[in-house]
Amino acid sequence: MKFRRILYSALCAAALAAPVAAEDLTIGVGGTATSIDPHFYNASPNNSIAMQIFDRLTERSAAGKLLPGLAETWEPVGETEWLFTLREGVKWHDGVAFTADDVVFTFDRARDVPNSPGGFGGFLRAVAKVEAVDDRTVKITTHAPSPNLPGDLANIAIVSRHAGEGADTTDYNSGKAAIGTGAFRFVEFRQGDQIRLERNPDWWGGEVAWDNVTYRVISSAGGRTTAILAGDVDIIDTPAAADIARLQGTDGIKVTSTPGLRVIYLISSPQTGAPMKFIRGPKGEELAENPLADVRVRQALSIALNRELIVDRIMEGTAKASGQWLPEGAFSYSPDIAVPVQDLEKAKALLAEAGYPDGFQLTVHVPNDRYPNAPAVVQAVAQMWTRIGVQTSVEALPWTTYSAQMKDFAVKLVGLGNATFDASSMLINVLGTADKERGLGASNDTGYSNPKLDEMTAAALTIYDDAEREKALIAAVKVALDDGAVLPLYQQTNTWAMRAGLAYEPRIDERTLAKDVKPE
Amino acid sequence: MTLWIFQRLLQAALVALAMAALLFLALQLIGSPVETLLPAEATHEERLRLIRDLGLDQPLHIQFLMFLKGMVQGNLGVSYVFKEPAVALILSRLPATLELALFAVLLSLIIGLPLGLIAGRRPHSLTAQTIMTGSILGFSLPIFWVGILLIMIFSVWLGWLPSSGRGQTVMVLGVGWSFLTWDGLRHLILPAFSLSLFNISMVTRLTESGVREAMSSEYVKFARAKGLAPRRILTVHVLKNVMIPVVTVVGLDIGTTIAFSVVTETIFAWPGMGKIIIDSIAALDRPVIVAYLMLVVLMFVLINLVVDILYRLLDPRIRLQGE
Repeated sequence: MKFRRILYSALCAAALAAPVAAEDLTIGVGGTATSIDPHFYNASPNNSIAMQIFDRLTERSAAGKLLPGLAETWEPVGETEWLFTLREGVKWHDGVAFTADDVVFTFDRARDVPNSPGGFGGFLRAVAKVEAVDDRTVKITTHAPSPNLPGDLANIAIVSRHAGEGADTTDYNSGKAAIGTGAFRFVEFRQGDQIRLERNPDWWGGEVAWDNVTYRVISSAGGRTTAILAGDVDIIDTPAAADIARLQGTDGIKVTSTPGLRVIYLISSPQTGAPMKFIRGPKGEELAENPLADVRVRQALSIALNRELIVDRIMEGTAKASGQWLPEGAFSYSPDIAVPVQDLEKAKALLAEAGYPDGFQLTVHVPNDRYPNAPAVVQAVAQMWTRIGVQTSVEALPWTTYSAQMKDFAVKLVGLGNATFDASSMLINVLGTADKERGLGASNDTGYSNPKLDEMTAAALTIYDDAEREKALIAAVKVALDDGAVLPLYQQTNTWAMRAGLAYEPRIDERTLAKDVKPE
Repeated sequence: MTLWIFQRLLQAALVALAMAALLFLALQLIGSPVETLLPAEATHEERLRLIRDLGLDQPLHIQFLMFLKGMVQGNLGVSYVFKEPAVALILSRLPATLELALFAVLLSLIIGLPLGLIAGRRPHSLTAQTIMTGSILGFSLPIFWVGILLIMIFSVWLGWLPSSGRGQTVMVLGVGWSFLTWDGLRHLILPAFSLSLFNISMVTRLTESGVREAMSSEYVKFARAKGLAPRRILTVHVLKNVMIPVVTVVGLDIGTTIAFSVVTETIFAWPGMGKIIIDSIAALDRPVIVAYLMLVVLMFVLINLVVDILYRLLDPRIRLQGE
């Protein structure tokens, strides 16, 4: 009898002492992270994973605000130097202490990973020299005054020298070199299938809610919707526009969204070479001059568009109409720049003034597999332009073919992620006059060149005072928009659906981060 | 015979070479991987480095020679987006696709044969008519629609089976297989069933017509006269004869099933070869596209070679003709 009582109480004690069931989170994502190497490829799915395993000197909040990361504080010293003071007591996943030397190693590596599509060099364009002053202080010397440096560095994952020296991308994929300081440790990477992570109990950023996290690649949007409906995953990114109403109406599932940083815009080429293949006179005759070189024509094309209608009917509310390339609330967004109102009479008058009273014929190009509903959007654009006499036809191509011929198109639709979180990414890379020496216009394939704009951009980016810099950037944005250099259409909305009981603050930068998914 | 096999091997090598040249040129025409891959924030230096690293700064004939050299050494290059050897990448996905295709073929036999037997035995009964009408649905419904419908019914409404993915795998011979675990099997059922729907219908119809024909043949009449039970006549004597065309067609069909699995793999997020070739085409990941297609070419060349050899061994007339 006594024995039985002892056994019973022992069993009770065991039951009470048993650990709470491990908290697991399964995430269904549409994009395939192609590598664990955080410097291999600057693409959204890769960066989402890198942000879990690794940390950066500075971080971005969900709304894009700059926050301290591995650097606790930073300050400019003189015109071309920055001092970053690193957080104390941070350890790599293998227990080795994190020091300033790791930062020096990282900034060398990020620019030059062999055989990689890369794309991080742009964020380090300003950096001339990186030195470890002591274990906790990094001094960065820049080529020119660079007030944007802390923001740019929020894109560069810090890797360790001891695990990363001599390691190449395959070593990161296998996990050998995937030693970070981040909220989660690397467990397993299966290309195009899934990525598994586990909690890093020593993370400096505090406790995360999940012991094990699985990122599952479900590339079809319908597949993600059914996976969350079936309860196979806890949270999904970018459900199809058509599915959102159904998800919202389902008990036990909630949807959260925010206007994103990615802008979808039309851009025209003012050159007289290749783009003339896609421009003809009103009766199909060849034209000697490119009508798109005339600012009045570009303006006419802009005000001929009814952006609100496009967003409402074609994007089904999954985008926000805009007359500028940044969403409301972002640095260098201007409340004074309204969404252009459709004015067909004025557009026709502008065309006539420019010498095209009967309009002209134009082919617009659009990728058919890259941005949601983009071909339908361009169909609508073509109808609106045809109403002012610009007889527009649409050609939709897969991205692989599209991207190779992009520089020859007369007018094309493109998306830009605005990775600098301000107007500068577009001003430097897309609208800047292509100039290798000055590091301008690396993605400028239209041949657009506006020396005044280049000057204003360059000047704005050397101002350390945030308010002043924002003012100068907005002035440059206005010059670019008045010149019709780019016709922004809308910002895509970033949407997540999750099971009830979870909360995720929607991020403007499209990242799906397990560390920020919280149980309610 | 040895000389003949040697000639055939030479021919096969020429076919592979011609295919490689065609592939190489076709991929040059599609577009440039640099433009497809490069992020908007990349600098001029990064662009030039990528072009150099990928060997795209070399003249076309040098690129082709380098490609041929690699191919002879069994090295078809490193994936641009995954940075893994292309052949290894594809081979790592092969088991998932094979498992799905073979399981689908197995299902088509398990389900199709009995249905065909039932329908063929009493062709005018209501059951037979239902089965035969149903089989028309089987090969006329598009596979992606059936797949989504199955997910809606069994995963979303009933919650019996998972909607996508491969589930738990077990390592056997260094390769992960999912049909050996309960979780993996549950993941396998829906994709395999939707992939096999077409084959089920085909097997059903083949069996049905075979049974109808056999039932009126002399040996069945004799068996019946001998007093054998109808069940035994059907499952032993008739079935054996009906199986011959079924096995031939199903065998030929395994290849097609593997090819069709691309659609199924996309719907069910099944991590097989089909999905990787689609992703690679979208990203213009040349080495992976080439490796995939070259493996397919080699597979077909080898199958044809084996078939030719078998013909000569089986049929003396062809053998004599050649000599």
